[in-house]
Amino acid sequence: MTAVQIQARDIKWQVDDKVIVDQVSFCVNQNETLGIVGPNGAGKTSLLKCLYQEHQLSSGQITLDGRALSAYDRKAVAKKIAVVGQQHEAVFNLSVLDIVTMGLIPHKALFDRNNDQDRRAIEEALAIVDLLDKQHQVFNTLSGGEQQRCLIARAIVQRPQILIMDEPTNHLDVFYQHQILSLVKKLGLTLIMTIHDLNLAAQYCDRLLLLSAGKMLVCDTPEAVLKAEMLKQVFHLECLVDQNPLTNKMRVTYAMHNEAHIND
Amino acid sequence: MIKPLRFYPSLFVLLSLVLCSVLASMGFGTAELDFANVWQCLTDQCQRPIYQTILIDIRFPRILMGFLAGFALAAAGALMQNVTRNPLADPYLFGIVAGAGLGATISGLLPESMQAFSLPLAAFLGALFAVLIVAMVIMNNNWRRVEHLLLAGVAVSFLLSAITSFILYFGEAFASNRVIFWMMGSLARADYQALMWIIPVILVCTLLALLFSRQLDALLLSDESARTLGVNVAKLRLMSLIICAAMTAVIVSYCGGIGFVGLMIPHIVRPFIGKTTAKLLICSGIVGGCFLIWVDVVARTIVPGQEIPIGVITSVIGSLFFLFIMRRM
Repeated sequence: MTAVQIQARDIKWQVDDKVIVDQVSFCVNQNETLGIVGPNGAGKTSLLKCLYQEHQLSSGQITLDGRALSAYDRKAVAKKIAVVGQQHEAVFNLSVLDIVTMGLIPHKALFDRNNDQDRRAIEEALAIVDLLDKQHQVFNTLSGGEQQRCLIARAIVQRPQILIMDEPTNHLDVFYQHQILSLVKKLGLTLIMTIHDLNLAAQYCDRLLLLSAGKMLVCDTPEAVLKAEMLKQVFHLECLVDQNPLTNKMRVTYAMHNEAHIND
Repeated sequence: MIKPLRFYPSLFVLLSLVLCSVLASMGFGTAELDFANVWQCLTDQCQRPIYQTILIDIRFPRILMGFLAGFALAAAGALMQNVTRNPLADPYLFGIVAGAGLGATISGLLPESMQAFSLPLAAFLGALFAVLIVAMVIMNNNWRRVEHLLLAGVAVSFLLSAITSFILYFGEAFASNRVIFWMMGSLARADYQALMWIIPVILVCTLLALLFSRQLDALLLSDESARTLGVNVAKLRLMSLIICAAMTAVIVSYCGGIGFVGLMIPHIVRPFIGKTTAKLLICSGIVGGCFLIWVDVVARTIVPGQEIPIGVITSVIGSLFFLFIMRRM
């Protein structure tokens, strides 16, 4: 039986009177991949930010390995959870190596210096994401896929148990979308990510959490979540859900957009 | 794109440059002392006792003060630019010069019987007052956004400058002139007693910044990214503000307003040495120190028998430098 690593109980996050994440409860098991899906503005990124304490909960509780997340100090959380946010623009032309080296920060005390073991860990991470030959290149000059791989390398150096990714396939072409998701799956970490493409979500996630207007509608296997009726209710689009003959995973095909739904 | 140079060889070259600059600049000044005299004084015995006084009691502390002032301003500038992720940030951002100017103005214009503080102490207290207001303003905003820091600094700076101008306008003309001249920057106040204050402050501040350089690097991507790496961004930014304020205030108190060093030097160093805090801070400091040694040489010698305010020269060089950069962009 796999252990529950993260558990969220009735978590709520609001800004002034506006509730962004509303009474959401779910759990994530060790080495599981959870995809958070839903339309724009559903609160997917906000929910993720609650999980790594960027947003302070208005109510509810999150536990990490059975202990309240708020009871951990910042550094202890960083040793367990790594975050790859949406695309960054680095100032001052930081190199790939500069950024990957940042992954060491949670493990270093004030007087510690980088040692050979650290340098090996950085090289290994760069080799895993295939950026070893671009380690001195400026981050901002990399392609979108390479930037994501660089941030994943930083996460690898951080040695976390859980990897949180916000829209990891945004702005990437089909090749890079699969490259990035295959790469993070191979790391063998607990993975929580927001993702727009339901077909990618079905292919790479063990379970999906469907959000709409801040509320969780369902959190279950892709087969249980990707129902045509449910998707129509959330995305306002007719769709066909069947099995992809190449992957044997669920496949969603959307009908043409009906303008009558614009004001729905 | 310039390929960054290796750090340790670059550091060796820069330290050699410091040594050469210190030795060479000792040969410049109103009194005519050629390099042979200087060399003889340093390695053997001075030809005349007056040479000893000129070199050891007047020129050396001034050169050392020039190096320390350049080091502190450039290192503080590099720190502020990295902490705020803003290439236009500089150590005067928090109204330090404006605060020091106000302190100096109040001290300078009071009747002599009421001048409880010397000018450097009054300037230092003024600088601290400015930083305190900036810190209070941004602490009310929970330090969430770096823009608050920048805006608070600019606002406090203008407010204190306005008060200074108001006082100077109604002040006694001779005293006002004295304060205005001080605000233009000069190393003329350099002596060993001043250095005894300045050296420990700069040493402690630099070591503290280097100790936290790893955390400071994490800020270069974004505040949120730094927090996910376990960095307490609010505390780190407050500490950086205090470090910059202390280094800058102690320099401004003795040397007045020396503009553009903190803004310009990190821009020159960054493409050659790198962007990460430790390397940038050390190399910017050394380059800034050398730069100010030579600017002071120009200030002392360009007009025979007269000294030009050092801040005027750095401002001219700084503005030309930024116009040059703008043309290349």
